[in-house]
Amino acid sequence: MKISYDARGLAEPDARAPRVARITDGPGGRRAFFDAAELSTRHINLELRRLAYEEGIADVTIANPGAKHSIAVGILARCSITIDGSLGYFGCGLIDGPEILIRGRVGWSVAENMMSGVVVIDKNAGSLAGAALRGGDLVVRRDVGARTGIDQKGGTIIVGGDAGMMTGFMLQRGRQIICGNVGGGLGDSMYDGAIYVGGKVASLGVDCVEAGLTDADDEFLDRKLGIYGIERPAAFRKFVCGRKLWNYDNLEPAERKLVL
Amino acid sequence: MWRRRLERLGHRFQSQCDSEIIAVYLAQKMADGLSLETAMKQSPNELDGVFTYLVVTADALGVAKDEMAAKPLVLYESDDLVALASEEVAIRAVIGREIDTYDPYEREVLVWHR
Repeated sequence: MKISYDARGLAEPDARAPRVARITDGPGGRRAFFDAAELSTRHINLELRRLAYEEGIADVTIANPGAKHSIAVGILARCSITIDGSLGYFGCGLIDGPEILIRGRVGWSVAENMMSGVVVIDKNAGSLAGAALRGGDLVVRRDVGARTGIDQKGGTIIVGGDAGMMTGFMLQRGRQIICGNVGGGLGDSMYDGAIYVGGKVASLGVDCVEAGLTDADDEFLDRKLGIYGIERPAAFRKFVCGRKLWNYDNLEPAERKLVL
Repeated sequence: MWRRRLERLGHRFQSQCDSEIIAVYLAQKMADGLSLETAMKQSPNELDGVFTYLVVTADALGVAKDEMAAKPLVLYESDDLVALASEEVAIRAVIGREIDTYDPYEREVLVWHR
């Protein structure tokens, strides 16, 4: 029986970059623009990679992203990308280097596993924003959902508005600045790092404690909020790990060897 | 537990699907005299599970999230339209332009009437 459909699913493994971008020369170098309305996720990402890697263009604008999932994933070049609209799940994940501006909202897991670079979202973000973030700045100008920065291992997450429950869940390193209120279970099971909150805290999670704000913290907050033009709330509170769950020394020597 | 409790009250289920329990649970609460909104507000405390559910009656539309906020929900609200989905791309299939949406938080219960 002849299979009349692509049995390999929607991955489009043979797809090629559609080469639809309009490239113009400007004072700051070459710029590219393309409309994503009629393109699949795969085609959008192929076109973006073609522009960033093959053409070496440092400034790309994507119009009409249509809240599609997994856009601008795995970009490993230093370039500037503007997404003129909203994204779905897993936007800008696994990136290393680019500066991305999203002029809309994003769904769950934006900028997950980012190594370096900047992602700025003008509107809201869903849950799991900056999951497993390793480095760089993730900035959400409005509100974020639950479990922001779950398993974060570095970098900075800045939220201009409110954050949901379990913010900073299992935070291992890095910092979070939440200018608004946060939901219950803040910093639950965090291991290291710091969470700064400008609004109300519904409740603290397991082994999350309040610490005093130092001059270095103040300087950090002023500098980071200043870079992105976010108004500083009247007062910040700092939350860190209480170290009650640090039981690693209790391991047997053989177990310790495995862990190390 | 709720399945057996509702069956003892005379309800019969057509499937093993736990979502069906939510519909019957709300119907029983409303038969007991509660408003849809009150019944829904009790549900995150009484239903053990991970859910975001939508409910539609003859004159109302409601949505409730559990205490873990573990299921996605995107909400768009304008003067004459309410659109709910687990992902914005589904809403954009109906509204073909950029819109302002947000994710409701855990334990949120929202009800709209005609």
